[in-house]
Amino acid sequence: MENGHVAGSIPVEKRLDGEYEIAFQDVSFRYPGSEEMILKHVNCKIKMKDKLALVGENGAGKTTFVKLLCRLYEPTEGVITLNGIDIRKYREEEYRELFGVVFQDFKLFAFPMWQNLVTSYERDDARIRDCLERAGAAGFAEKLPEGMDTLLFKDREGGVDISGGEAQKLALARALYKDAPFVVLDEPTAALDPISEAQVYAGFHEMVRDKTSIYISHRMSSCRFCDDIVVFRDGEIVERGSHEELLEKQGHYAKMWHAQAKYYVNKEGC
Amino acid sequence: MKKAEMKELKKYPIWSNCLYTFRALRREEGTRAFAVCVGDTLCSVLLPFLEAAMAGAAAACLVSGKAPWVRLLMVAGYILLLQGARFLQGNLKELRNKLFFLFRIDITREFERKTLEMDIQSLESAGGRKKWEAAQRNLYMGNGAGIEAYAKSYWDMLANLGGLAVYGVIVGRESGFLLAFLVLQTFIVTGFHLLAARRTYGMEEEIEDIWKEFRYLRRESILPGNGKDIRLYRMDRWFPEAMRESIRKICALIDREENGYMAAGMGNRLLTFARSAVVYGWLIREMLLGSLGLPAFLLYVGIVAGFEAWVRGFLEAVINIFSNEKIMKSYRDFMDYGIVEEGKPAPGKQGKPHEIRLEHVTFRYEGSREDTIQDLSLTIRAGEKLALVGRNGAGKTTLIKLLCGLYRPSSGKIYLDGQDMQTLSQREIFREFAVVFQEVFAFSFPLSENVSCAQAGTEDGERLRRCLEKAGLWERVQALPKKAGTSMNQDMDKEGVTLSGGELQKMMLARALYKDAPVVILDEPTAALDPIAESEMYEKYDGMIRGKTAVFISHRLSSTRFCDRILFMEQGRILQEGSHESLMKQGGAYAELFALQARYYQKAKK
Repeated sequence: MENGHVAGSIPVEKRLDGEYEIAFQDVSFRYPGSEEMILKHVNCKIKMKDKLALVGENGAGKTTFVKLLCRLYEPTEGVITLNGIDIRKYREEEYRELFGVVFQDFKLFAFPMWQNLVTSYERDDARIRDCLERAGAAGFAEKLPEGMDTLLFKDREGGVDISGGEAQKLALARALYKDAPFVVLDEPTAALDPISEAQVYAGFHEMVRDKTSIYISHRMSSCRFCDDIVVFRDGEIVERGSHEELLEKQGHYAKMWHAQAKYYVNKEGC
Repeated sequence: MKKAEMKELKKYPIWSNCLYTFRALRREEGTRAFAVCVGDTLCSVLLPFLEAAMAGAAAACLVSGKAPWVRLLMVAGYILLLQGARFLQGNLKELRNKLFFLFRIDITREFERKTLEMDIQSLESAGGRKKWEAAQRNLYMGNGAGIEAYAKSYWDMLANLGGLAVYGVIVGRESGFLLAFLVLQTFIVTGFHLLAARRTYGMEEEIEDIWKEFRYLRRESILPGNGKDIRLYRMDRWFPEAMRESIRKICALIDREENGYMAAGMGNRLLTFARSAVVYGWLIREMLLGSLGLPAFLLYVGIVAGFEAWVRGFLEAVINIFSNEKIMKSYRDFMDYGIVEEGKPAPGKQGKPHEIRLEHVTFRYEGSREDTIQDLSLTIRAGEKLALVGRNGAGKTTLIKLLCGLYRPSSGKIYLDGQDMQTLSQREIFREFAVVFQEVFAFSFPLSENVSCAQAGTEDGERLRRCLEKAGLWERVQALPKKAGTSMNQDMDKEGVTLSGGELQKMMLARALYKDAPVVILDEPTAALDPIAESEMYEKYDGMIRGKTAVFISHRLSSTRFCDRILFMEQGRILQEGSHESLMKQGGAYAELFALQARYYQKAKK
């Protein structure tokens, strides 16, 4: 079968200073064979070392945006550039090395736990432990019957089932292990309880300290950490700015914020 | 196979499995199946005999001294008979094979039904899983293994025995010595084969485990849902290596297996050579001595050659029976496994709001070192709206599985309106509960079927519309190419649609609403919804669960506001309970958790 993507040949320049800039230029996207435009004329520059949040309704285009960013899909119209060059010109595998992603429907596999983090056979225990720690997974990892060597899931003999929250922490650890300059987290705390969620937020800054991060979440609270909030609606970017700026605008973002905040703010004792 | 497992299977001896199989055959395919089998068996015995006798018969005709055209007619007649027999046998064999194939397919229905209906606790247990795996080999390993091969092999064995008997009689009439010799050779060859076969059974399970590994890798590497992570994490460095490892292990095991068979095969060939030397030598001697005419000589040569075929066929049939014996046992073991449903009554007050009472309930997952639920006592009043909150691993989801009867407590009792749930029919209990679990997914059937859980066309259209509206999915459905008739996913219908996580969650809610059961349990029903959709959902909840008993789990403490009572769980126990206001006044774990979440929504502290 032929690879449908255009094969790029330029190696991605390795920059130790993490100075990568990605820009979406008038990007539109629809699935081949479908009429519906999922993204429409999206223009967006992602600044280096930015902590970006993507918010919007289901189906507004946030996850598709991320898939285009990682070059899992290619734009139907428009172009995405990295440091000014069309990303299609880069070698695909090298380009993807730039992204550590935790999708909403991430997948872990029935292999030893450490292999799920490293996704190969090269084992570096110290680094693995560090990532588990930062993802808040060190606690449950120690309790596993065979520690890091425990097989996940019951598909194979001797495997152990893990809960949704534990799996999410492992997926985070995996993204951290990759140590890529761009970190994308899609609803990373959806299955976590408030305390675990708070731990993740607290560690989040540490996690993405020198990196560019993109954060998708329905919990408006997580937007507070992000310098830059991009608001999607019906496939377009309708607002962008900091939390305070957007609240002041009293637009779509403000509406969503108040829809959640109202349950917390007019309760007694808070 | 471990000792305990082997002991369990002893209750299915071979004659019992034989009976079971043929009763099932009659049930699924009718008595005409037997007519076909008998016909095919008779032909199978007759035809080789006719063929073996052909040379002799032709020779007899030719030396008979009759008129040339009479001789020609006789030979032609014989050939016609032979062709007719071949034709008949060919057709019957085809028919028989088709029959057994369909038989296997028809049996899968009872297997699938069992899998779908048996109690989940047994199915999920390590033992249950193993039994299921072993049982499905009876049906899904193709024509050569499992119940199809097993049933066929009995008839094959019968045919070969018949052939052996006929040939034995013929040879015996000529020479007792020859017969004895052939029989002895049969035993020796059988011995060799059985030795090799036994070695294989031992390795079968080992090989099966590795195959499972390999199939898992093969399947996961192409599943569309895995594609993103596989590419982003360069799992192309990982999976192939793991597959190579599996293949290497399988090859090593198969090598050992083959070596066994090769040794048996060599012994066999040597014996055949020796036998041929002895037998043909003897026959030629008899002919040279004049005690055997040419036609008789030709007949016996044919018969002796055919004898070998009968022996081989008989052996293969017996080996097939024995190797599938284990699979049949495992199948029956699985079919008999699990909690017995028969005879258990339905709960009383069906359709009315229920009271559920837990008394000192403890629950521990199989193989776990700790109790997930510890000595929990709780009464949920009929019509009450209850919220369960707590950290991950506190036991909330486990508790609701106990509440709706999916799991049974390790100790303690659960009462539904005063009736011990374990004495009631599980299936009937389920009718009283509508549950939305955390895992959202759609079956690859039309959306309407996913919501109504009934075949498209039989659902109540008005009710479907109302439920989709309440769940906030109606407009989306109207926008789909075939509206509610649109298939979900693309496995069964190329034009199927894949809904987003939030949309799926709404569909799950619609399904629970459609069921209209008196107890509603929602586990994180808005986790994937955006703030506005979530807020709209909360507005509607009141209306949705009016008059019903409801239990609600959520990490977003804001959502518990409309519940009468909130239970804060920690490590399998109820730590605090009360209304939101009273819990906030009390202070403690709940208040802390709430403050933690609320903090982010308060006025910005820069």
